[in-house]
Amino acid sequence: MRARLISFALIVFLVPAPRAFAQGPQDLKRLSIEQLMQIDVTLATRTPEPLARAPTAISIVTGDDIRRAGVTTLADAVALADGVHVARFNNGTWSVTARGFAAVAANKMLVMIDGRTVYSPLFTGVFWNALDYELEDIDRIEVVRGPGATLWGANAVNGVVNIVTKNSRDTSGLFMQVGTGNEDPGDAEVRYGGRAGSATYRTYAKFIERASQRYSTGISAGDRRRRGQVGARFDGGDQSRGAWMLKGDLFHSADALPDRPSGEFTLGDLQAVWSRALTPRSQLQVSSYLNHERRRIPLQLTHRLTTVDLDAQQSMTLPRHALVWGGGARVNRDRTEGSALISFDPADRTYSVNNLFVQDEIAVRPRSVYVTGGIKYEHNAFSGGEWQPNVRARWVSQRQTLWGSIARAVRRPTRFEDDIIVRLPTGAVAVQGNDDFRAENVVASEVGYRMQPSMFVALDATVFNHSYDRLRSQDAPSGPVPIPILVGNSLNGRSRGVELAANVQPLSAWRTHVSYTFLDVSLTRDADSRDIGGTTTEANDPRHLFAFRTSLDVSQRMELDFRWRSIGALPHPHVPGYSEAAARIGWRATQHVDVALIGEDLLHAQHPEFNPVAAGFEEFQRSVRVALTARF
Amino acid sequence: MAPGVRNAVIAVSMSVAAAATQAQEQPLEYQVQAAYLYNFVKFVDWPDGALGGSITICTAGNTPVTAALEQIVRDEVINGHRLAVRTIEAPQATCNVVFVPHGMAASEYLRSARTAPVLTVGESPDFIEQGGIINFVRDAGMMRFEIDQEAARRARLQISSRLLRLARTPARAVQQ
Repeated sequence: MRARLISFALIVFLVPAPRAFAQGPQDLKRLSIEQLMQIDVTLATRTPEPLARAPTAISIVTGDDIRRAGVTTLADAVALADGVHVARFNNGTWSVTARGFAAVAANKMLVMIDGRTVYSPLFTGVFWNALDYELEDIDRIEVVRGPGATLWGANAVNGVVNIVTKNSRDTSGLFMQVGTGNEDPGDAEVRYGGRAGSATYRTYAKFIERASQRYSTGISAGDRRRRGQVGARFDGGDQSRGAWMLKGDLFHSADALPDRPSGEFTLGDLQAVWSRALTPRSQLQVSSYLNHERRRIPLQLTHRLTTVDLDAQQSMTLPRHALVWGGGARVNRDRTEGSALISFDPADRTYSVNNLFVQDEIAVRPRSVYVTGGIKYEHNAFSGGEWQPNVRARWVSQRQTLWGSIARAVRRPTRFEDDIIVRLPTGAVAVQGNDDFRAENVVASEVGYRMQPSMFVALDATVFNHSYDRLRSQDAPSGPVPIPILVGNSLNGRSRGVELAANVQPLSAWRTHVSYTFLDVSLTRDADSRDIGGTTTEANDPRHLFAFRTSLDVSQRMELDFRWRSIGALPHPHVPGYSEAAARIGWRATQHVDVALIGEDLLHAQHPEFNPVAAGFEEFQRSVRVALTARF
Repeated sequence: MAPGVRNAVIAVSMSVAAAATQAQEQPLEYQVQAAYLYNFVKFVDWPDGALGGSITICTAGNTPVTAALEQIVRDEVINGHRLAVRTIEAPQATCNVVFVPHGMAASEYLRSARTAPVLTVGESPDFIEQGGIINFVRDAGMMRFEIDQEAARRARLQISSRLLRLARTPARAVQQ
């Protein structure tokens, strides 16, 4: 829900695409049409309040960035954002994290699509493989690092990934794409959009097959995926009379497994958003969604989940104040069918998450010094109520912004911590959930600085320190028998680091983006902790992340793109650091047809990303793909 | 007075005052339109022989877009053609692009440009209906544009798919 508000806020006081300040006609000339389309021309100030002025560590990946990268999955698109560590575990599982706590079931990010929360309430992690939108339909991906707990929804502990799809007004006509390559042997997408009365619509269908990856021994991992998604979106009305959006998607995938019959994942969602300007300085938004999913892993777990969510919020501009307040209610109902190995007790459970929040930005010195205070009260069925406060301040001038923030956020308990039962082949309980598991807690302080030393260079630096307590632990029982292990809260942690990014755009036809993150994550045990995980179970993070990408329009018809990434080694289990490169050549063959040749992970025949180099663990291959796109 | 209105008034009076002292101070809106016009030229192919040594962008009537455009196209060459900017009060045969700002009657310019290889750009709700090719539309504070491909075909202009992809299809064209 708050996604739309944040998007609105971003549009109002941050301009997403042009990372450079526009200072006059000569500078606007450097911007591409895609960037010109993002400038808010109504702002009274000469310089639009750009992204550069946000009092938060934010990075935006535009639809054009995604297209130029040539990626085929949403997780790979999110990886284009600054300070984000994306690592593949197998063909359908990614760890996507900011500021640490990378894990197979990474659980500290809030991920939303058009305001619909898409992390699973089962473990607060994301099934990235089940988010199979046409990347062409994505307007932008906003990634906020650090807690955004006041304004954003539940679980914004280490960051927020807000995926915004295009308004159907902007997707009229016919779009078709087919591609083939060694990693994605076949993919096809079709979209048609138009107008129905005063409303606009689009409808789409996508199919993609992903070939099996390989084990480090070179043998096929037998995890081929076939995924398909269809959906539609309708938009209509306007702010004065009420603007509305209605959207629905249906996803299915068949997931081959090397040692048993295929698993499957089916997901359907329906969402409605309505907003209206109550007065010229006040806006109301109401949104609701329904989500149903079924995930089956043979011989392990079948999980059905239904989620109903309703949110409302009002934003107001008063003299010197920008006030937002609202609330939301969400009910999850899940049913699980466990196995001899893993089950949940109770098998079925219905639980809610509700919240109320208020935030005010005060112009202490208008156009120069702003202070924001906010607080959210969130209640969940597992651990009760939690207060999540946040204070931010920013100082802005023509070419510089300095900001700081202190915030508390929580990761609420899930079925995974409360209700899980893992058994040994003998039937003995090895791991037992804990009804007394409490929310994990973070207090985060951040300081950021952005500047624009010249017309076409923008720099961004952030220093952060996150202190965690009550982190999930695996506590041994007190008696002589080593099991069952109880899920506990006896770990603490700290994540600190520096995040740097620079954007250079000497010409509208040539832009380069570079980012570097230093990250130091350490976990400690409470004095009386009986944790047996040795503080290595919850996080496996690189100390260094480096990314570089450059895009050049060689001519009206030819585009060249190059990307490089270097990821430091992971400590436990040890995964070697690696560097990889990707390249794309795009060619406009005719008025209606584009051809692109894309190479990914070009430097190695195969490399591990999150698995140790050992038999039975997957690595990821060099891939080449060609895609044909037609638009009418 | 409401603060928003007051700010707008201050901003406008400031920009007027600035324009009086310094030529390069136009409100952002006009600068963005000028940058668009410059970009449009890059993504349109004129039929053989339609262009002389230069591409002339004409602005109808007196608009701040002209001054912004002059700064942008200064010493610019696109595909071997020098860019020039002219202010016109009536249709002129030498124009390759005609921009009709809000408040100017478009019909006269569109009539004269009809079937001629002239890229017509406007910013009024009925500009496309009257036969114009590209129309600026404002959406949530952003300057976007729609393109009528049929009108472009009539004018024998080849518009790049890259530009078409970013454009909205005008309501009339979709309903057909």
